[in-house]
Amino acid sequence: MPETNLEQRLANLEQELSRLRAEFAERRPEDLVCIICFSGEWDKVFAALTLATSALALGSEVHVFCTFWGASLLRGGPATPCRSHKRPWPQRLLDLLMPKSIEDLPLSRMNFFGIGRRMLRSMMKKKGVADLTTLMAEARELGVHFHVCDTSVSLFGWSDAEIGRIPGCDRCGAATFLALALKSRAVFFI
Amino acid sequence: MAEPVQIDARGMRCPRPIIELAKARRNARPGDRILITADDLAFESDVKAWCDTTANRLVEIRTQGETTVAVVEII
Repeated sequence: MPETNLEQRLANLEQELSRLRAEFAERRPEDLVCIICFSGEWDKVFAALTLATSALALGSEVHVFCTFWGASLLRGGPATPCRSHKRPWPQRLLDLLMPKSIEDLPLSRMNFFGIGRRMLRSMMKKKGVADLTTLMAEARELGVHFHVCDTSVSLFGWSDAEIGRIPGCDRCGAATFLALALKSRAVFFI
Repeated sequence: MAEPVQIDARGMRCPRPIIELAKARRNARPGDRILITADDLAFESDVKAWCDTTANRLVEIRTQGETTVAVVEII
């Protein structure tokens, strides 16, 4: 009978549609933006924080994974990792050589022992461009999530207590962050 | 209708005007309006993108010289 045939086809189509719908819902990215900050230079961190604050302003949940040199962007302010406990001399040397706070990061080009950075900062101030401290405060106010790379902090010798003092930050591994990145709308590597 | 919340973002460069808008939105209720003045040249396209992405309504936008005035209604 043609009608039964039609009904059967319709039922098949409905079943297929609901299967595709479920699959689509599962695959649709969440409103997440992930930024991997590998670099520890003032200008690159500026780019990372500009992206982070803009994405937060647009209403996305933002996760910044600070790895290797990028971990230095979390130093300074209320928390200064690497001060409170004894550690072997290589880590102490690294601590001595790493920037003490976010504003101490060097420029990736034309730093000239910090003179270039100072000049750039005064130019930016005149033009009304936010500095790193302001962007960091805005990002925190808008609810950014920081993750610091587990391997990097073990290498640098930061303790859990020190990481605990960094606001809105936890330590995590690459797989944990990748799981977030895989369901994000956009991922940036800086 | 209640007076719009006013933000003066003149002298601020990208992304600060949009951050100010996002902060004002957090305290706003549906139907509230925010009037924001900025002289950042990216602001006109940024505020349009902001309204598009956050699903709020751009009621009015006018640019005169370098100054852009936008009125946003929170949905």
